[in-house]
Amino acid sequence: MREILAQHAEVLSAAERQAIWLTISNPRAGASRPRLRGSLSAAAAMMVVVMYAVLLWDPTGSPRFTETGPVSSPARIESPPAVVPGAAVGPNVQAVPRSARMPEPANAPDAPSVAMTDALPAIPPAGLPGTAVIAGRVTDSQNQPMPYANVTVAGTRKGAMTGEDGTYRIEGLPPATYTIRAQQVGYASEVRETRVESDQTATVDIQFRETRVVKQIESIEVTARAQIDTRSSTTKQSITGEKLRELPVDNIREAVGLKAGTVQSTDGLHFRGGRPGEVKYQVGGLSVGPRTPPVVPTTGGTRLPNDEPFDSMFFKNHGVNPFIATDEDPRSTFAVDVDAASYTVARRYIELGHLPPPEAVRVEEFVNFFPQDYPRFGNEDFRILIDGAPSPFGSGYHLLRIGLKGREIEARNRKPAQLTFVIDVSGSMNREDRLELVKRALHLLVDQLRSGDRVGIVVYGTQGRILLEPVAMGGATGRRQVLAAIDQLGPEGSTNAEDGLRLGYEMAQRGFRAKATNRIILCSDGVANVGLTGPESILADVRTKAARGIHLTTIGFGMGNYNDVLMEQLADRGDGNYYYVDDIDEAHRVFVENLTGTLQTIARDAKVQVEFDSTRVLRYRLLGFENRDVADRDFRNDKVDAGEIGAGHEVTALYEVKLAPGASQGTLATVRLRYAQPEQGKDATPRVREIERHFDVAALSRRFEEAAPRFRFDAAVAEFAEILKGSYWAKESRLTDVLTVARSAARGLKGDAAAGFIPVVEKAATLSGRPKSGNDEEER
Amino acid sequence: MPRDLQPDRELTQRARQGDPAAWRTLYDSTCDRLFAFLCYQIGDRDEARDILQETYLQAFRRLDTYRGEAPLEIWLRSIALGRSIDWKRVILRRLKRTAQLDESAGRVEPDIQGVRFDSENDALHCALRKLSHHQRAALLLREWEGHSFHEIATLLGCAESTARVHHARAREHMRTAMRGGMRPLGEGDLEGQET
Repeated sequence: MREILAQHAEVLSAAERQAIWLTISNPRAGASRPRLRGSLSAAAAMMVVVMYAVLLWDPTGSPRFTETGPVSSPARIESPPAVVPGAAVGPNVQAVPRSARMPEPANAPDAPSVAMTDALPAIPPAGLPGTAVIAGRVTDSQNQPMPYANVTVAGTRKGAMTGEDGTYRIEGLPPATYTIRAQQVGYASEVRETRVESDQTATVDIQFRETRVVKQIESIEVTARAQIDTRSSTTKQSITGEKLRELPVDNIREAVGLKAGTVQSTDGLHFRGGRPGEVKYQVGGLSVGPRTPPVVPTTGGTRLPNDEPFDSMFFKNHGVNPFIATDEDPRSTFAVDVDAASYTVARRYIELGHLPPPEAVRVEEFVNFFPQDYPRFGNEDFRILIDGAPSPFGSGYHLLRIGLKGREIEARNRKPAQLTFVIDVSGSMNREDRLELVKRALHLLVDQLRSGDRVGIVVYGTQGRILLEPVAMGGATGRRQVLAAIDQLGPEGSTNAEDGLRLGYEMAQRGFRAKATNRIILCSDGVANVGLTGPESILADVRTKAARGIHLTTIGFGMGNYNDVLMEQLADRGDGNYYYVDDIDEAHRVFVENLTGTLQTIARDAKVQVEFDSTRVLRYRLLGFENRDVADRDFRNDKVDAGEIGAGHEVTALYEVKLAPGASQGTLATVRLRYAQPEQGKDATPRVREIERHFDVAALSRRFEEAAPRFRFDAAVAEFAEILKGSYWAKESRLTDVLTVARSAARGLKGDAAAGFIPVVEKAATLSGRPKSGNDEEER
Repeated sequence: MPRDLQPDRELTQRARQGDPAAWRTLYDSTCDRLFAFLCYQIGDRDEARDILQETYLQAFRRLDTYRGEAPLEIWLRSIALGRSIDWKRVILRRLKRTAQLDESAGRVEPDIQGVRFDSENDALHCALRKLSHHQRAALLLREWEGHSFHEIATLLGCAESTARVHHARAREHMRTAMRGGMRPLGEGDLEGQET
């Protein structure tokens, strides 16, 4: 390893080495000097530096505050490192563009570095003792000070810009004899020679002669080109320390925000249209958070920001369903959703000590995560179960629970499965050992498979490739082959999800068996960065293939850099389900306990329509299913893509309803379920079924406490989700109320899923800064 | 690997007293290895050069905080590592934000693409790039620079055992990655090179 590393090590060229030395050996100039990309011309490089120096110069000599607005580059704010202890105290902040680079020495052999003329009194040569200083005053022929003239030391990269009083100062010169050149637009250059000794200051005053030189005009053109060329064109303004004391600001953020060209928004300061993340702030060399300017008191001191958000999690906010007046629209139609990923995602967030972002919460998926224990039944595909009781969270309202229970299929009666694993082995899967979890999860799945099932594997990193052609699980060899292939997975390359899915579909197509469940299982963190990457573009492709009887199940892994939207939408379009596996227990739930349901679909494009009786229900609100909305008129349109239900799956939808005064009996609502039975073969037209059930007002429980424990538990789960989602309807609710209801309900329930809910709420309550307030019924 | 710290102490002492030759020696004697290290760690030559510069600026400014308890090289590494973490945060954020604008949701992987190598041999860099910051640092510091795990742990701010784990994982990864036909190294190159 060492030999390999040594062999390929990058080498610092002599020129680079020298350039860096020159910069670092004069910290005053170097530390605050923008670094310029090699593509910039030497002249341009000089101009940028020069401009910088001009504006930093401060005639009053008092502490000052300089602000820079980068157009396309992050900036940093740092105090000049060379301010010597004991020098003027007070705020002293600079912003320096970062993307600019040091000049490529080969391209810019003569670019002078600039030591700023600084009016801070009595600054000793801060960098390297033993070096000399050249200082002096530049004047015109009338002996008036000549501001902003360039003074350079020939043969070195050192130089300075004169201040308004015409003085300059160049530091860090080794003892020697130097030629000093002063330049100003409109004047002929003046050259002086001087010898300096170590630790001494040589005074060189220069007077320009009255000459106009046409040639010098070129440097104006250089300036213009520099402003176009430079990728870090900057403008700078100074606030003197005096001014800063007068300004009505408490901290530097406010001071920066007052400057022209900066816009304050909730997520930080924008410099000239840039984004807040492009700015880096440093105070006293201490990085103080990339997103927001430091809340630094102008009197000194720093506060470090905390609570960084997880990077790049992708969710989509679908809003919250409103209350709908039954008079206006008595029908509520939605596509069935049996996914439960949202709950596992949120649980993972909470376990890591963060509240999930509101858009990560889908209320129906929270409710559906928990088994409902709907009773078993006979031969039909589905049964609709309805119950209701007064809502514990909104008095005067009732909660209506609509449950769908799919036919159970015994594991031994399950159709054989033709599975194609499409596994994301991109670099991102290496984070948090995601790939390890994938391996363990797939092990669980493969262990559950029987003879008759077949498994093929496609992996994708930079490109998709076939890892294993489908093999039967019958003999011992097939299973061993699959497990061995899974075990040797290692992360590689970028993420070409499109390519992986395409190969997966091709493999599934080749191995298509009419009598089997044909399913692709995608294991990924949802990241796609090569090929088609947006959900829309990948989905368009998926959609056409799903129509041929191949289902897509997506299984999400990972936190941080996770794309919920892509995973959910893929499964939705791919006629499959979406799970999020946060730990091996969840993998067990999906692949072992509910394997039959995961693999075998009993209904496709399942839609529910609930029709409320407008004489008995004033208004209603569906909790969740926001992104599953189906137009009422499309309920019987079988071309509309809707949800898939696996064997034994349960779907629960909750409604909040306001009953009409005096409604005590008669039909409250009619629930219809429409679905297609899974295709029998490639070309068979699906048989569409519709079932319905009425629910009578009299069947409502009188009191919430009398309702079934599972019902009460669901109410708590939904309210929890609504609170996390920041739903308007739950804004007066408290997590402690949720806990009370959940605890009491969980006592009547078996199974650890319900029990596991309570610690999650407790943890969330400790994380939540939600103000404690009572229920305000008038709002509803 | 105990080392004689006396030369380092003397050199820094002289530098602090203002001996220009000492500053120069300090820079000259350390910059090449540090640069190569940063190139591996950062994966971008230009950035590495910038960070090298920043490292020395900071080092020279804070030379009085060097207590002579560890080799000067280690001390410089710690500054350089801190700098490179800062850099990484900035660049990742920038890339992600750009990605967000480009495409609504699909594209998030902050692959540090657009990084440029002057050398054609990217297999090694590719493999290195997939390691975490800590893993990569541990690998480089151990395999290449030959530092003790104790020193590495101090540098990374973690326990010695953790440093060992980082190193082991990194080695394992490199072994698989480079064996996976990436080129141009054969298995033999990596076997039996226990250090």
